[in-house]
Amino acid sequence: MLNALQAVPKDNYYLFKSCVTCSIYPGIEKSIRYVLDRLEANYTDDPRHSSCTGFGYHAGVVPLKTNLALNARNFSLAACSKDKNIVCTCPTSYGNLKECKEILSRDKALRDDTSGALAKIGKSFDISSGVNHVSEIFLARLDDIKAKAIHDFRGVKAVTHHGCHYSKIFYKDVASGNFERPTVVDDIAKGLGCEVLDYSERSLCCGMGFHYTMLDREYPRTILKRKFASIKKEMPDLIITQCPGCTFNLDYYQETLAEAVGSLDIPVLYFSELAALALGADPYEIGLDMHAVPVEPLLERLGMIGGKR
Amino acid sequence: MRIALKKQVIVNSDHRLSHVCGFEKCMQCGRCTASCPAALIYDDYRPRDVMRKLQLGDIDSVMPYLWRCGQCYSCAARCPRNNSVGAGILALREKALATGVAPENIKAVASLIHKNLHQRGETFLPYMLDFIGEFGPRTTMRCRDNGNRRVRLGFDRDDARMQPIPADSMAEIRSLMEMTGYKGDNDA
Repeated sequence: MLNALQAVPKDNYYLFKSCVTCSIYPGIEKSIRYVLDRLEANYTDDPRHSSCTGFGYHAGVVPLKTNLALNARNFSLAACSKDKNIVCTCPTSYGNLKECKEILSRDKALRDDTSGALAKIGKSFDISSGVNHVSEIFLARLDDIKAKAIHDFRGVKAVTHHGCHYSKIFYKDVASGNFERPTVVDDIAKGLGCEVLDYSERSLCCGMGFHYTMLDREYPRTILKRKFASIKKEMPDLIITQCPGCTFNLDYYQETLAEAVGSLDIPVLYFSELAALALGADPYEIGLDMHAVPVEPLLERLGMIGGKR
Repeated sequence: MRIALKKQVIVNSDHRLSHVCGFEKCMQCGRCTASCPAALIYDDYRPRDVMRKLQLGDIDSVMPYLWRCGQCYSCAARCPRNNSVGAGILALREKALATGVAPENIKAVASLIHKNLHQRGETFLPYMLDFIGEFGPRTTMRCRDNGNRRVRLGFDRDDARMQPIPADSMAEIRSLMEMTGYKGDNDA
């Protein structure tokens, strides 16, 4: 259920693209577009916006002032667009844009600096656009998705994993459930017929850790051992994610973690891939063959394999 | 022996330390440390101790451990006083890079991210996934052709997106990087 206080725009989305999503799972972006198109939603795909810089900002290598200036430019582009409601495909963009908006609202000196820099490139300072994550939009329009769905996931036992940058930075803004137990993805999965199982390490981070992914993958491996040991106890058919970085970690590391926690082979789907499949998307057109753990056996079981490689 | 915190020590003017981190409000309850994945792994990193050191104005002893944090913000979500160790860590990381005391491998990541942002307006790009070989033989076999698959899906092979950021936008992005003092190896 959508928490009453959370404002989720009904339409007119400024689609904020994610560099991690597009680099590793471009099919996730295609599945988001597929669902928005099927809902006949109005959205703007503006090639001019830059990365939110979040991957570098949280690695600690992009300065705050640069983060603020680039995102003030992104806000300005959204404000001048016919579709002003920023909708992020990645929780780090969601958290980072909200952080920039908050700092720029509160700190006059930083606001003046940033607005001065924008003026020099001929852009106006306007940070009025709201910021949401795509999962919130799908949740708000779940009835439309269900009405148009041609497949359901009855009989599929799933666990969910929400992105830390969705639920733990602006923890009061979680759209369903709370930061300790966010249920945005659970609600979507249940609406599409999945049974959602609980597990004890539900709120544990996936261990992506930004610089760690580039420099020291023992950090994610150690955390994922703990996470997967807990998931394995529940024996789910599927893991449903909300963040591209978490999707990568929960998907790519499974094969080599089997030595430590026993065989896993649990397919991982982003919530938008799940919704696109329910609406009848061709699995190969949304890039499911790019996942590390094969999704095909589950799709075969559900009678959803249809496209050609 | 007691630790006295009567004298307020101003350690940094960064907004994230002065307004978001909230170290001066920390009551050392330890929920952050109990929630921290990095503290599970490393015996020398405890977010609660980071907050105490900041209260004492002792930034120097925190500096060597800044990149232990994986930026999950479990510390922030569970803090009963709405503090954020993670936000304070980011302010100190920026200081460490600016003063040259950041570790060499972090400087290398800094240079890589700067290059990506400067060339394409994006931080993460497909070429950075050059380590899939370590994920096991099946994953390597299955994913080795993902470069062609992304092209089949309509995406650029080298850029993250379907449509790279246009040249006039890139000029704006580069001048904002320059105006905000974000320098890299590729700035002439």
